[in-house]
Amino acid sequence: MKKTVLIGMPNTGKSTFFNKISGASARVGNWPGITVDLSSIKTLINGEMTELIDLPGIYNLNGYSEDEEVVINFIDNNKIDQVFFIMNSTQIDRQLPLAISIQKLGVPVIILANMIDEAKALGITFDFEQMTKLLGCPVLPISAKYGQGLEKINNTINAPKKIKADLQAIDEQLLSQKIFDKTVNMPLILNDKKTKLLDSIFLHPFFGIPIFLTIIFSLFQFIYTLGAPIQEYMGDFFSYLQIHHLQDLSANLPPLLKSFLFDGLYAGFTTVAAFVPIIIIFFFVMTIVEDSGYFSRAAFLMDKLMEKMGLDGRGFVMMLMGYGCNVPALMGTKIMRNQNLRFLTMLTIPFSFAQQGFRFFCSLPWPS
Amino acid sequence: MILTELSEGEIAIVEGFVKQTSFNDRLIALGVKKNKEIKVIRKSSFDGPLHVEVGTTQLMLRNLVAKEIIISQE
Repeated sequence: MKKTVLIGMPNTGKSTFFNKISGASARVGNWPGITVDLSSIKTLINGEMTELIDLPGIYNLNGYSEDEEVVINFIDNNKIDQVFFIMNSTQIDRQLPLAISIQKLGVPVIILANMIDEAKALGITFDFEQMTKLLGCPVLPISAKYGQGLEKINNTINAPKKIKADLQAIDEQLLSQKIFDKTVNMPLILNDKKTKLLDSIFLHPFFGIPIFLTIIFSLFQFIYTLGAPIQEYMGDFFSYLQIHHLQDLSANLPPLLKSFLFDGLYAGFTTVAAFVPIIIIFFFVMTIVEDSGYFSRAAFLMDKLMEKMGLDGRGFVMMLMGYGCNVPALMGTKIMRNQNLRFLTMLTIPFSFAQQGFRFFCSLPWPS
Repeated sequence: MILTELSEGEIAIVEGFVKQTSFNDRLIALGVKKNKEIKVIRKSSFDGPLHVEVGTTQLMLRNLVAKEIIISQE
């Protein structure tokens, strides 16, 4: 079976592309390198069964971070038939050098210029034909989010690949600057007034933090106002089920077994199950906030405080998630590249008491 | 000059880095490279991070990192 890998910098929409192709629902996040476990799917590309592997986002092939090592090791130890290099079209100036480094490895590369819709909205224009000629590999504009341009990938796979012989000697930075100057037309003033206006409000030196606290407070109010009654109904439903149906069924069981079943298994299972609605609402709300880009603003506001604790802005986002439930927050720490930082964040998360965690901590010194 | 000496809204040209570390490659990959324009959009209070712009990329740099970036102004 053919092996195709997805390579690109963090935040270029690799996971979005992967999900679009696979129909899978690997979580897509707004922080660098969320796909640390390598997810792969088997899919038909150009009529051939292909294994498509989503590699973590990297900045270069120097092996500075764990993610970069993962990618380098993967390339070294696997026979790769095709690379899909995904780049963010709005930041093409700094993403081309990595594309050239990947080409130097000698694998056939197709460059997918993602987020073309955003680049258009910003007023950036491209000459992709010229770019294809200069790079010596196909460059396709796509929008993974809206599914634009994806159908062209199938026809491009068969296109002959010519790797320039003199490529090895070329300096990535110089070549990409040359290509950028010849093929990309940047407007004098970017069409991003709205972002700038919103940033000036949300990152305001005095009002930024009060706005942040208000937003977080409202979100949690919203989640619990909506979720708590559902949780209560579910709790009531489970006790009703136990009293009116299950206890009759088990009337003949020995008391020890009965107690194990009801006070142990059933009580445990239903307590956890009753939390599920709140967790679902929590994730729904957090996904909206994440996609809005507000988390990176929050990290900017809170970074100084986090630095004092030896953590960084990302740690703060995880602690925030920990208020809803510690489990996904702990899972999320895998995006951190530095192992010590990751452990420290994991150890601090349980202090941002999730509701059930809080009960647990309270019950330690004062057994009921 | 180093990057932290710029005030909000000021633009300068990146000249290089104070120390040669492998972290510089990360900064270069993010667009902070020689001869590129860099603009300080905002600085957070208490020596917190800087919000800067290089090309179309906006970054948040900790003071510690910004102190390592050499710049020049006309």
